[in-house]
Amino acid sequence: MLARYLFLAVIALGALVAAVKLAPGDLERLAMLERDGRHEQAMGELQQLYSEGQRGPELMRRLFNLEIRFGLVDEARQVLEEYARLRPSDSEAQMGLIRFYQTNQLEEPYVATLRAQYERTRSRELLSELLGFYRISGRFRDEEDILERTALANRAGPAEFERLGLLAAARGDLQVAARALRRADGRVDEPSRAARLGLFRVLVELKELDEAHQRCLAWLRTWRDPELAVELMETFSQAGRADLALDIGARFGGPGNDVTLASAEILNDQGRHGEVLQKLREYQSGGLPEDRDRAQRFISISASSGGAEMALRAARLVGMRKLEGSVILDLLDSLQDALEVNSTGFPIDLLKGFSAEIDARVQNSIPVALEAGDRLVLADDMRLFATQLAILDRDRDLARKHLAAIDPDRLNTFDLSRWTELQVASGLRSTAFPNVPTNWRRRDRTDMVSRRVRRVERTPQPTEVQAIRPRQTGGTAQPSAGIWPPINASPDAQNAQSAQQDTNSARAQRNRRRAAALERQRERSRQASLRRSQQIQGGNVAPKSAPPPLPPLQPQPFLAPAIGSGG
Amino acid sequence: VRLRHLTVFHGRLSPRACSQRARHSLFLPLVSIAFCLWQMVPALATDRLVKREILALFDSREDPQQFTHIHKLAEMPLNHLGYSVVYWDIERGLPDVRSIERYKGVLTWFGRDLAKPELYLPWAAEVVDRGLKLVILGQIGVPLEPRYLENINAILGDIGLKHTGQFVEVPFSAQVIVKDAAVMEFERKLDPVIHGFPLLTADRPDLVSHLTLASSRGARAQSSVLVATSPRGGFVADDFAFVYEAALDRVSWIINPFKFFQLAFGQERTPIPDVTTLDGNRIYFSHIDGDGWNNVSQIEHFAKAGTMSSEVVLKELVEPFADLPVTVGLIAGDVDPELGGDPSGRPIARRFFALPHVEVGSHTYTHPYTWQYFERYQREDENKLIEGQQRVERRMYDRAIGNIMRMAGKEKPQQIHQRYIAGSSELPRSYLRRPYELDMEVEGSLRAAEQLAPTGKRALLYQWSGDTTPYEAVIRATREAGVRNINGGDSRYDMDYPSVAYVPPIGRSVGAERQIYAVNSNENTYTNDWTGPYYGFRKLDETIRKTDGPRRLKAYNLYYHMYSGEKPAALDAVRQHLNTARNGEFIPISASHYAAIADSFYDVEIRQLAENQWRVAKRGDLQTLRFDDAADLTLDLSASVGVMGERRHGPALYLALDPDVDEPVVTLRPGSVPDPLPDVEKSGGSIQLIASRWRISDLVRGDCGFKANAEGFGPGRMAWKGMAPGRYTLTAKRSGKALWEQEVVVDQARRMDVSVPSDAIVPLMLELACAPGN
Repeated sequence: MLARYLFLAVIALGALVAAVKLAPGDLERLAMLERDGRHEQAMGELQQLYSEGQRGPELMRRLFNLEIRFGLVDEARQVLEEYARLRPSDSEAQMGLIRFYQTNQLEEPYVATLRAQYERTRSRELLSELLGFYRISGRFRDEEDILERTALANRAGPAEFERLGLLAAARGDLQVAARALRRADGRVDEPSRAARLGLFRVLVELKELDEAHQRCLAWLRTWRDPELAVELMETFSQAGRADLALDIGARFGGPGNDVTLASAEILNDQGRHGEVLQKLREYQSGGLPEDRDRAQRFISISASSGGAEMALRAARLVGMRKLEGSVILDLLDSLQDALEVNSTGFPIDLLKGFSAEIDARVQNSIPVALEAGDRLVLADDMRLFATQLAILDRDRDLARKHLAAIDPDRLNTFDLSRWTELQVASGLRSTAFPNVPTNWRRRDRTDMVSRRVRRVERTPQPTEVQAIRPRQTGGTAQPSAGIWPPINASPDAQNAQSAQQDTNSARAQRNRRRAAALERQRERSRQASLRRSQQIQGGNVAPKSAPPPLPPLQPQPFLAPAIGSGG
Repeated sequence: VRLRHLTVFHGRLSPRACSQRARHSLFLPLVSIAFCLWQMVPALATDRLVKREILALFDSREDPQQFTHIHKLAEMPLNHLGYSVVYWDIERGLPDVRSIERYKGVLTWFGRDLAKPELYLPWAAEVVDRGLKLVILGQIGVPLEPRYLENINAILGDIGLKHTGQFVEVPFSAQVIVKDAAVMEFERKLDPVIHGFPLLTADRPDLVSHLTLASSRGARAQSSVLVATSPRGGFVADDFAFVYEAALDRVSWIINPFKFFQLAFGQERTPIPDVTTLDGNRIYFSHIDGDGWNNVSQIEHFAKAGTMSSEVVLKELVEPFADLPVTVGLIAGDVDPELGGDPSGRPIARRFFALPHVEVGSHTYTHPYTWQYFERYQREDENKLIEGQQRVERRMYDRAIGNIMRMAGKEKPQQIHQRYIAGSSELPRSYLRRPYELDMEVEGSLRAAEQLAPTGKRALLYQWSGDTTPYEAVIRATREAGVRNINGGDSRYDMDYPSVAYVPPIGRSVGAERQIYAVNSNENTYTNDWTGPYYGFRKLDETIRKTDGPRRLKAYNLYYHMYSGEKPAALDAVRQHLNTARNGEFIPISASHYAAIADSFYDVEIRQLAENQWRVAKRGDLQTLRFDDAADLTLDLSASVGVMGERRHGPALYLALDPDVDEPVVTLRPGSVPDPLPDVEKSGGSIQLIASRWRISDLVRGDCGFKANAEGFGPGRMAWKGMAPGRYTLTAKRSGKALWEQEVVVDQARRMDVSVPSDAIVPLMLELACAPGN
């Protein structure tokens, strides 16, 4: 019996212990409250437990969530900050804190926590977020600092090294820039073109030209980018190491390759005309350039280095209409030189029909035609040469037209004699101008360079074409020179230049065009009214007076006007 | 007193005023008449229409109009400066050059070259020849090829720039030659890493460079003018207007758009029609979209009773705030059982609309999510989409739940995913049972809302749903239905959206119609698309603060949804803003009233009569003019007509116009303190309204006090100035019967602050008179 009672007592005690053990704890009870939708009560009890010093993770999480649910932001912040502080290595807790600060737009705690977490984890996502924040806030020094730390920790990728290098370069710290950009360059996943160019320029600036050259060669071997090669060559050339530039040209040039053209330009700048022509021949062995910009460069280089024939062929291939006025002037200059010497054996046949093309180019550009962005306006000496070309083509009308466009009062003595003789040749005059002393008419031989210098030095005429010759189009880089005065130029010099620019400004040119158009319109009106008055007076339009019969055209040898022929 | 409205004629004295003066003149009447004529004639000669429109060219191959930089970034600052933007898609061809003289200038912000630059160039040259200002941001739109260069420079030359056609690379760092702190680095500093820039030079002496950079130091440096303005326009090179930070997907301005556009389009002082302020106070309005009307609230004590969110909003946010008007936009489908709605939401709508401070609105009938879809609507296509959605619907899940419930002997729960009710924007609209009909969507929904309102109470506002990009015909339908429209824009200006670039313009032109944007964003964007945290909407206060200073860009718009009644934190957030509005210096108006003011902005016609005098016409509901940088000027009340008063906010001067005067004349004079009129007895002639929580109209100044009509919500807190110090009696009357009367004191600063406790939803008259013995 006793045993039975004892057994029952043990059973009862066991049940009691089990009941006590199985009874829900605080958190379970609070979870039940939440499940029942009694959130406020649950939160109150959790807050009580928290204030009693309980810091269990589950309690704190629940409390935080409930406080957020009721929008108790300050209380929730306190709980979360403590939770994260107690668990510095708990990534989830730290991220929760970061997102809390971000959501609540608490900028400084957000950045500080984000940075601290990044320092702990070196996570690329966090780095990206941190860098983005620094950039948009304009905190570039902080950005550089975190990039440096990332680089020191060997966690930086090419993009980070690149940005670090460029930031350091911008700050003028070329040593740091070079270090960072070298590391960017050494990566398998290649850095951007900007980074490599940045490194290249840093090296050039640091006078590490041989390293720059070696790196260039390596890049170009993998990239095979003629545009980049040209850019590097130009930089070497500007740094006074044309030899390195030409070396690149020699390695990566070829027929029809821009690198070859750039080599020719560098050689041309050095006055090595023979080698220029050799390069140009190499270039054109793959065919003459049909692309406008390349053709223009080709023509300019060949024209200025004595390759008039080559230039003319290229010009006629691409078409006069597409060429800039300055290029055509270069070409005409070169042709004039070549034909004066004549010993070069210039094939005259190539000039057949050329005068008409020149004239068409001039004519097409007179109205404000959209295709003719720049106008070809022939100065008097070029007019005289164009007249000679017309006479060669037996185009008497064109020759006369050119001559008519020349105001003899403007001509110097030599050109005046040419003009007179061409008038004779074109049938406008029976004899040459008699009063010019023979020794005045003698023209000194001038070399090509001084001729070019003369043309450049010539006082710019109001409607003269502007020399615009970018080598590349669109957004590609191209150094330029001479258009803007140096930064340290005196104000007077700048003013003088701006005054000169003003007379040649687009507005001034447009005004002049308008004035000319207005004048033409007036002239047309005047003639129309004259015709009307004639009709009224005579009942018929008076017949135009017929031009006087022209003498048969005398083909002239294509030389400078025969000196002394009018004597 | 009415005659005082006529005393100014074209900037000088009117014939009547002249004759009155002539009677008191010491001179002979003939001399006085001559004097009057002398006064009038030059004024007539200076009468000039102030051009307020900017022609914006955009290329629809890049972006549709609403996503262009001009709309997203430039239009708001231009609106703030008083300009309305007229868009022209250059793909349609170019506008007739003869018709462009009405514009103040032309604005372009191309991202790439145009398809037909050869057509654009002569047109642009003609534009600048006609004297219009040309403002170019970003790319010019024409390839920088030699053949175009002269024409490009013909255009740029007018601004004062010359493009060399070249692009300069920056080896290390660009050297700053000029950086104008007033224009540059507004929100974001210049990045020290600049790879290069186009090479432009100054070509006119009156060109002002705000940013000139040199490519490097030393003799080889090439400098370029990258941000500049001149009397003929302005230019900002690509990449120097703003920065897009890809890691954060955020933009920020480099230039100060307000200052830049002000300089580029002209700095002459003109009154700016202002949509942020009314009677001296910042405008407050509120509207609720009906989304979540029938959702059961999760707030503890409401959840137990199964209370709908809409009812929670009614009880917690609308009924207790009778001093703050609110427009409730019902989704008609929500209470239409034929479409799948719940008719038990109807009584709640009736209770809302019965409240005098609640305006009836419509948030559409079927709640379109993607408005453009319905411009070329085909029911067959929609049916296919519905079918497609049904296939991925949780049928298996529903079946399983149904089976379990059946086995347990319980009813199957109501199927949430009904075939013709979209749970999200994956389908083009929420209620799909009937084919979409434009009339039903607009007129039908308005009538449905009105049926639930007291007799005679009309629906006055149409609140766009979904992506809030309505097409032209549907906006026209709202106009023809006689209601205003609102929504869209999603204005934010806080740490998360840290740029004024996220503050939208007043509205969006859509063909011949106009959509009015909501002034502030709603709780959806603040709560991560309603995924929490739900108190996020509290951060609206940051935008409210930042759009009030240093320049007031926007009114205060409390815009939320019925689903804010679901969550306690969301409810608290809205309540917090209601308390701010209740206690702050705001003038509460209805949302449709704001929309009317915003619509009127575009039509205001301003004529300059004299150097500091303008006449304002066609202003509709817009009753505030603003002058920026007017610290040295004050209202010349004696030479103004229909101007009730002035108030300063920062450097800006706000003038309150009398709605009862058709064409007010505004005159300013140097000085910062208004003087009383010397020729008016006592002080009545110089009485000015400073600010009022009620709308004031028909102000008649008397010898000792004034009379004015007033209308508004809640207590009539107001401030007046210009009366002689002493005791006065202020009376509120309606239909001749005094509702309230109190003795008020004008202090030595000649200012009176008073709060009238009467209800002024029905207009009343205020009368201020000298107290006996004063």
